[in-house]
Amino acid sequence: MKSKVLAKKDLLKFINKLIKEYDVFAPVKKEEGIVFSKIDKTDDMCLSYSNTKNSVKEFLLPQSEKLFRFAKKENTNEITDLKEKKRRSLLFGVRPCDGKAIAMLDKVFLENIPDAYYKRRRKNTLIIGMACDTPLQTCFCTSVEGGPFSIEGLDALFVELKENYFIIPVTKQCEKLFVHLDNASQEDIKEAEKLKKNAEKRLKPVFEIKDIKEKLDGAFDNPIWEEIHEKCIKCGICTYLCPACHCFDIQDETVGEEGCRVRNWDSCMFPKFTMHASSHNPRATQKERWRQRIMHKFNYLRENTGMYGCVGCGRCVEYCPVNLDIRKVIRDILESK
Amino acid sequence: MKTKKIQDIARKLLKEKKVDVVIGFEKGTLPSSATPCFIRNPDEVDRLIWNSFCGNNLANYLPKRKDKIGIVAKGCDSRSIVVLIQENQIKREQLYIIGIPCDGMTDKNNVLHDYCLICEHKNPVIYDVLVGEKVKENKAQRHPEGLRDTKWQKIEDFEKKSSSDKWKYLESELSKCIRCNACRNACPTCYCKECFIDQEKPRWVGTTNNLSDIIFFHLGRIFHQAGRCTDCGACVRACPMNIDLRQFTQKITKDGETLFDYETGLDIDVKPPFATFKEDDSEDFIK
Repeated sequence: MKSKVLAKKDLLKFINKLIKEYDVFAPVKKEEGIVFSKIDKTDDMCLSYSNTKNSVKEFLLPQSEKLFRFAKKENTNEITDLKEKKRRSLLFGVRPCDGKAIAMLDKVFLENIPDAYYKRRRKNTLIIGMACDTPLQTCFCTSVEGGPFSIEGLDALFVELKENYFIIPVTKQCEKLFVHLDNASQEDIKEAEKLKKNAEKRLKPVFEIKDIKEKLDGAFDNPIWEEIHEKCIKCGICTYLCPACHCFDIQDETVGEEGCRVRNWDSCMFPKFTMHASSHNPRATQKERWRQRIMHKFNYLRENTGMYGCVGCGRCVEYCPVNLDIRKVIRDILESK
Repeated sequence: MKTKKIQDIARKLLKEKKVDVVIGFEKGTLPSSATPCFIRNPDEVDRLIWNSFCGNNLANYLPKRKDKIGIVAKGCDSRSIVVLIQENQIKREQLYIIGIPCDGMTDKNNVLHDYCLICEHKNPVIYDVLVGEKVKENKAQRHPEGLRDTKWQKIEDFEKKSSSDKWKYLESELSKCIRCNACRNACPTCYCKECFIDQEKPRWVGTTNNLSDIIFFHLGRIFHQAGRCTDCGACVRACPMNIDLRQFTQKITKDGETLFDYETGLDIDVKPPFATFKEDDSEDFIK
C-alpha cells in the first residue's frame, strides 16, 4: 500500500465522513483532562494532546463487560447472550505506545484460545494512530522496544507534517478509507522521515531492556523487592491507566434470582487480587504484588508472547500519587546485586 | 535550611536507635516532585529533603505499624496522626514526630493547593521536635467580610442549591471515577482492614463501574470520614480523574465543626463526635 496525504484543512471533512459510518472515538477535552471518548461531531475532538489520560484498551477490554444474563426459572436456568453491537468502531488518534499495547493484548486474547468477547470487539474496530513528536518527560517508549512512530498494533498511522497529514496504511482493512486520497510525494516521505528521526532522538532509552529478562530470571528472591514496594499505597491507578495491563475478575451481579455475569478490570496491586476461597493469600504483602507486576510485564509476558507488558506510555509514572516510578524500579533492579 | 535540620534529626534518631525508621520525603523522579521515603540507615539520611512538593500525608503509612517511627509531619499530617492515636491505630510512644510548620504545598505547576489556602493549622498540633519557626495561622480568614475565599464559602454556596442540582453535581463529578481506590488508599484515616466495598460476604456494593455503585462507594467512604477528615487534600491529590472530592468531604467537616463544635485532630484526649454522645448534641439534621 502506498503512503497517502491528506491536507490538514480536509481532516475534519474526512473525520465527518467516518462518523457517518463508524462509532468514532478520539481524544476529547473534558474536566478530567484529555480522554479518549466517542465523538458525535468533529468539534468534540481535541488534537493538541500529548497522550490521553485513559488508554484505548477500554474499547477492546471494557472496565466492566457484561458477558451474559441468567435467570432461574421454575425447572430450568435461562441463559441469554447479550446483543452484539452492529456499528463498527474506529479509534482515531491513538498514540503508537497505545497501539503497541494493543498488539500485546492481541497476543494474549487472540492466540492459543481466543477470547470471544475481545475478538468480537477487535474485529469490529479500526485503529488509526497519530505519530508522536512531542514526547512528555514521562514517556519512555524507546526503552521498551517501541517508538514514537511505531506502527505496531495500528491499522494506519497519521504523521502531522506542516501542510498535510502523511498517512501510512498498515493493514488492508483501512485501505478503502484512503483510496480517494493523493499518494504521498518524495518530499512528504522525506519530511516524515525527518520528523521520525528527531522524535526518536528526543527519547533516549532510560534503561537497557535487553538485560532485564535475564536479570529477572534470577531475581525472585532478590532483597530489592523489600524496598521497591514500601511507599506503594495499593491503589489501582497504575494498572487501570496502563494500556497493557489486562487482568480481570469475573463476578455475578445478581438481584433476586436473576442477574448478569460481568468481567471487570482487576489490579495486581489490590490485596484481594489473589485471595483464595480458603482465605489464604499467596501474595500476602505488597512486596509479592510488586514483584509479580514487574515479573509479569518484563519477564513472563516476554517469555510467553515475545513482547513486554510495558509500552512506555508513562501514565503510571505521571499519575502515581507517591511517584513510584517504574523506570526507576527497573533501573534499581538492573543495578542490584 | 529545613532539609539539613531534618537530616540531622533523622541521623541522630537512627544512630541512637530511638527509632527503627524515619518516614520523610526524598527527591522525586519528576521535576517539581518529592516522594515518600523510608530511611533505616543513618548513612542514608542525606536522601531526606524538604520543599513545597512534600504534599503526601505521611500519616497514611502509620496504621498498625509495630516499629518505632520517626515521622516528618506538616500541620495536616499531625492532625491525622492525632486521629490515628485517638482511634488506637498507632501508639504515641511509638512515634517521634518531626513537626514542620508549613507554608502550604504546591502542585507541579508551583500553584498552592486550594486546601492549603484555607488551612487553619499550618503548624503541627503535636510534635517532639519542631523544625523552623512557627508560622502565622490563618484563623482570621474564617469570616472576613466581603471575601469569598472563606473556609466554608464553597460549601455554603453548594448548600443553597436544590436537591436535584446537588444530585446532578454529584453524578457528574463521580461519573469520572474509575474505581482505582486511590482516594481511599491515599487517605490516612481510611485504614479499615477490609473496606466495605471489598467485602464479599455479604457484598454491599456492586463490582462494576455502574454509576450508582460508584456513588454508593463514595458516599459510604465520605460519611465514614465525619469528624475524621482533616481536609489534608490527599484524596484529591491522588485522584487521577480530578474529581472534586472535597466538595463532599468538606460538608462533613463543616457539619462536625458547626453541629458538634468539634475540629478534627487537635487533641488526643478529646473524644471525637463519632465516639461519644452528649445530651445537647444537635439533632436538627435528623428529620
